[in-house]
Amino acid sequence: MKIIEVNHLVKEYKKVKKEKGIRGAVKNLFVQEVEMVRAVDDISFNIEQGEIVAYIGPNGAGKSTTVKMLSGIMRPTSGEILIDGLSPQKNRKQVVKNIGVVFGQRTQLNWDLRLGESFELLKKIYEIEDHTYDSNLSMMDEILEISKFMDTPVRQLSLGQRMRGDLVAAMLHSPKILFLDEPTIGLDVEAKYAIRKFIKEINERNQTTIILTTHDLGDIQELCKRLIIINEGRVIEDGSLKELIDKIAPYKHLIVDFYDPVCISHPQAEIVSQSEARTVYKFKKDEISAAQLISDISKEADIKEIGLEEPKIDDIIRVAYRSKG
Amino acid sequence: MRHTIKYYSSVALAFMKMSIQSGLEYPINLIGWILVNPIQFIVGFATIKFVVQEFGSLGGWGFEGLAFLYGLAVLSHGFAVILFIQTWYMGKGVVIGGFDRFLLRPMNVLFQFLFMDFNLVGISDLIPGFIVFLYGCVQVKFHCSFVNILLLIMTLAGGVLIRGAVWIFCGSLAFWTKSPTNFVGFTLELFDRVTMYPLTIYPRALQFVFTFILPLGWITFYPASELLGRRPDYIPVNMALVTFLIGVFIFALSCLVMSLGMRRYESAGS
Repeated sequence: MKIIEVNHLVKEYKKVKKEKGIRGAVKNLFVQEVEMVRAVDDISFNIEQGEIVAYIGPNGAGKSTTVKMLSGIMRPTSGEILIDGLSPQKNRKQVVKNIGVVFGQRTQLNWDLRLGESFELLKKIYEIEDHTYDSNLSMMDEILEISKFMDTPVRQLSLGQRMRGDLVAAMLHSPKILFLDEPTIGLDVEAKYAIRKFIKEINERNQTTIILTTHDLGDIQELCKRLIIINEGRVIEDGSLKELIDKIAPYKHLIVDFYDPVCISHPQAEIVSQSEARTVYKFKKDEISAAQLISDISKEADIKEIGLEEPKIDDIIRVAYRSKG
Repeated sequence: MRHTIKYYSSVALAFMKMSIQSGLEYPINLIGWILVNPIQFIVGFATIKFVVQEFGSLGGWGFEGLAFLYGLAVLSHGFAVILFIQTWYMGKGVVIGGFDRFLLRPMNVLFQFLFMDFNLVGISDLIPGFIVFLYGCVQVKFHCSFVNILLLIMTLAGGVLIRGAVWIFCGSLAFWTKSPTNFVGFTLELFDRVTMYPLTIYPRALQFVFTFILPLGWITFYPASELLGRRPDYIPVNMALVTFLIGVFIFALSCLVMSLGMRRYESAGS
């Protein structure tokens, strides 16, 4: 069941060309050279309920702009968005009841008061029933341990605690969809672990659809079965991580440590490096299996140690960013 | 319908409660303001007393009437600062994406904006305002009839709405200019000069402007004249009532302008 539909979404900005210096600033008062910038340039995709999707791209690709349009805080220049069948522009109040948003760098919590106060306010705003409120809080407390700092004023919370607070705030009203914009940015390993665990839990328990904007490759690997990569406002990849790897880097590395310094070549493997007793082979997954390669090589020389390396995610993504789709 | 009213009232109450709590989180700030703010009013009041002593009257008003007028102005300012202080930061809010959190909630955005801040520190204006005003009432031997009290409430309400409206108009400019416009300082100066003294001290042209174009004269001068029985014969209506009506009308207009501005609002930053 398609819970998010995006069709030919476009967002254009007027950008004034600024010239340098005082001369330029004065000139700008009278004559303005304007260019139209397309932050989002004809994006289309559909997301089913219960998916966890990573929405990634280099800085300035248009990720945050897309999320803002999906959550209704920015109007598209053209195109259609349907969140659970409704347009966030035309039915803002209705749509907003079903989504939760966390912007990594901003907070919706009240800075001066204890964390619990912000939750109480949200309870009133979203008209959350007492039992739902209590059970949601206790469920989130299990994984995020927020009861420990419920009474601390938000201004005194550490970044990790504040992020957890924002996550809880976004989920209190049991939204069907969660938009997370850089949720693990700047967090320590423990906090990252807790947040990822939380995301997995709510997705499993409540079938919450999650759209995650992130630069953190750990987030992608841990959580997302599907990846949408955008660059310069356009979708350049849309599929599972496995599909992406197969497309861009369909190979693996085999690191073989022999007993003696030998140089064994293999018709279906490329020697990437060879020094002393260590040879690194590169082979295509669909041409030969690791097991077969090892077996073939072992017939030629005695193998001491073997290591098998998957292609590095960040290399793959870097290559993906550079391609134009 | 009833449910909506109940819903919005309960949220408004929650907003107010939280704002007060926020104010109390910083007690030194609050006490500091309460202690220091009245000084400007003491000085202002002393100035009036001096002027009357030297020149006999100000714009045709004697000391008693001036005290009443001055007190009314401070009171009206105090209430406006308590209820509408968020309008001072609209310019900045527009530029940094401060309205996002309103858009993400299933409530009317204008309502959230208007009710979200209840500025406790405004008490530092109210306390001296009450003192001066009560002194003025005693001086003019103000008749505390039920009708008069009602008219007084309408005067204050109207005055506060006019002030708020001006701030909202100024703040809404930011939606179109997309820069953090801030005319608050200017408006405060203007309000002070027009509301704390009789309008009659200004040239006719200015009096005209503040009566018919920018209705600042209606914040205190005209209703105070009414309440003190100084209504000119050629005016057939109760001026305090007019103040209230003008306040409601101009405030509604400013909200309309703000709503139009919100449609142009684009979340900024990342």
